[in-house]
This record gives sequence, C-alpha cells and structure tokens, in this order.
Amino acid sequence: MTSAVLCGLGTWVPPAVVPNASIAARLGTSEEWIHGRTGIRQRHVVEAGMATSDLAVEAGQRALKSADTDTVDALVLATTTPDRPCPATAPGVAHRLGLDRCAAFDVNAVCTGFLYGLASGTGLIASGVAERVLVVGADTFSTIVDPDCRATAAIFGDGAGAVVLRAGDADEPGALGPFDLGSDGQDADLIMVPAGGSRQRSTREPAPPGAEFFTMAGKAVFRKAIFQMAGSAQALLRRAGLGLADIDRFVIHQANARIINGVADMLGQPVAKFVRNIDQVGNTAAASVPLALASAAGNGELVAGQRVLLGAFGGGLTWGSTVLRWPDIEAG
Amino acid sequence: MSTTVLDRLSEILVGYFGVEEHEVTPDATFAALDLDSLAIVEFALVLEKEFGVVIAEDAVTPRARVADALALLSAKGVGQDG
Repeated sequence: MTSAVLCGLGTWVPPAVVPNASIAARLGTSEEWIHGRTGIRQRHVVEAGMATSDLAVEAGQRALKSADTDTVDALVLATTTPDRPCPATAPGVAHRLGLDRCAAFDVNAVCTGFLYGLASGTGLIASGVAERVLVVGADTFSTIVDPDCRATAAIFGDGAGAVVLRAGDADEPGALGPFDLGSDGQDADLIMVPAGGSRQRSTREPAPPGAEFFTMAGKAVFRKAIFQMAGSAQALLRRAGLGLADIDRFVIHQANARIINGVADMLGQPVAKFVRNIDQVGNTAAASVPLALASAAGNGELVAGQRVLLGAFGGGLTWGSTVLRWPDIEAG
Repeated sequence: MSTTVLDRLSEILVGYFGVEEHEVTPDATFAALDLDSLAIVEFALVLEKEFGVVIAEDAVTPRARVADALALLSAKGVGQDG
C-alpha cells in the first residue's frame, strides 16, 4: 500500500511576545509560579486583526518551500479557532498559497488536531485521492481564552506549523504510520467553549456573560492527558511491532511541562527523550507538535534517521499517536 | 504510618493527577482532590505498579481519605520494612 511520507516542515509564530511578567499581576500570581506550574516562560500572540489563516499561510509557505514544491492536491487545516464559524478556513489558506482548486477542509480535534490532520492526509494519499497533501495545524487561542483566567490565559499561545506529505514507500525515511487515534465524548465538557454553537444559539437568547470563553477542567484534563497519551503511545507501539526502546525521540503535545514529565514517568522513559519547546511558545493547540518538531530539528535534538513518536491529547476528548523515521529535510 | 509512603502518594497525586502538593493531607478525601471513581481506578493501577500490591476495584472510593489509602497499603505490608 502507498505510504504518506513527510517531506517538508514549516512553522510560524506571530512576532508579539507575552512574557510571564506581562500577565502575572493581572492573573494574581508571579512569573515563577507560572513557570513552575507549567514550564512556560513566554507565548506569542496575534496582534489586533490577525487571524488563524494568516499564521497558517506563513507556515504553509515555509513547508512548501522546505518540500521544494508549489503544488499539492489537498490541504487539511487542523484548527479550533477558525477565522469565522463558516466557511472552513482551509480553502482561503489554499487560495492565498496559490493552491487554487485543491481539496481543502478543516479538522477540529482541538489539541489533537495535528495528529488527526496527519491521519487524514495519510488516508487521502493511501486511497489514491491525493499524491501530495499540505497538513497545517494553526490556532490562535489568545482569541478565545479569558484574559483573567489563570488556568488558561497563562498556558495558551498562538502559532502554526505545517508539513507536506507525499506518496511513497513504507520503508522510506519520513513514512508515517501506523496511527492510533481515539475519542471519548463522554468527557466533552472538560474542554469547551460553552457559547456560540447551535446548542446555545437555538435558545434565541443572548449567551450568558463569559460563555464565549474557552474553559478547561484543570485536574481531570491533567490526569487524562497523561494517561491517554501514555496509553495511546503503548497502543501505537504494539500495532507497529516496536518497543519503547526503539523510540529515539518523543514529540508530544506541549500542554504543560508537568504533563510531559508525567507521560515520561508513566512510560518509564527518560524525560531527556521528550522534546520540549513549551517554555518559548506555551500550549499552541494544533500547532504544538509541528512547532516542537521544528524546534528539535533546529537545535539538533532531532536528526535524520531517528525514530520519533508523535502524540497528542485534546478536547473532545481526543487523542492520537503515530511514528516515523525523521527524514533528511530542512525545516523552514 | 510511614511518611515515606505518604510522600510517594503525594508525588503520584501531584505528578499524575494535577493535585497541588499542599492539598495532600491524610484527611483529604479523594473527591476533595477531584478524583472521581475512574480516576481512582487509575490511581489504584499506579499504586499497584509502584508498590507491587494488588488493590481490589472497590477498595478505595471517592469518599475515602488519603489516610485510608495509606492504611490499605500498610495492611498489605507496604512501607513496613523501609
């Protein structure tokens, strides 16, 4: 069967940086408390008028350049913060990238979005629908978090990451798979934006004040993130016929440094095998995994030939994992 | 009751369950620490792995206190030789 091979990587974060010092007083806490609890020192945020698509276009351009191509057959955009509720953000991104007429759609799996996007792109290639797919993870959570909520405002940042997948062989460096994907809608309320969807709008009443903000049940999410990412990694390895010792690098969702440590502990793996860039960008939702990949590829933590496990967990609840040998590419 | 076991329980609750260190006291119930029945099943699995003991599914409930979990572990011989 045809495999999807990762052949280009590009990322972009908006230039405006918000260090802990700028938000600590407003949140009634300190720089060190935020860093100690989350591992985050700063995050990037969009300026007024900037939208998720603007970040996606920047990352997409860099990924296409990294893959040395200017055409794809499909664009999959993972986001929870689309430019508008309707239509999907992906077609506009495709247009601005000069990818006119290619298939383009959004995927919403919150912080697992990039993994779901990779699986969608892999499926399009395996089924022969597309030869080449641009998968983008882009989010601007600064537009949906309550700026006065310590549990979310201190954690989330904005950013975008993109990869190009092409049809190839399973034994090539960069070949993705297998995948482990899952969901548990019983816990849908743990991570959500209460207002703005059909459930609230069908009441024909204005939403209660604050209901437009993103909410997250801290402790339950913390625990489920650790258990599900560790469980998904183990399920994936069983499916792939690999052991934990076969994995050189773990690049998992940068939700919180303590969650990354928890996953490492639970898997009995040294934390040094787990890539982290959360101190610089915070939790960037669907952009988190590609931003961490680019960071690790850039500082030499991730080199061609290493076997890397990608994993994520997010609202839905959703989770996912996949594995690849890191290809010899120049990230943009 | 061994302080060492309480410390280890605290590490598990803080590291895997997002509990704040200052919340872990012998009198705190698991419900007060935001551990529901599913979380307690996971907690019991971690304890089994950590201490090498088998814990029955209904041995710890959300209404149980941290001290009850310590007593349960102690009854299974955990912490008595170290």
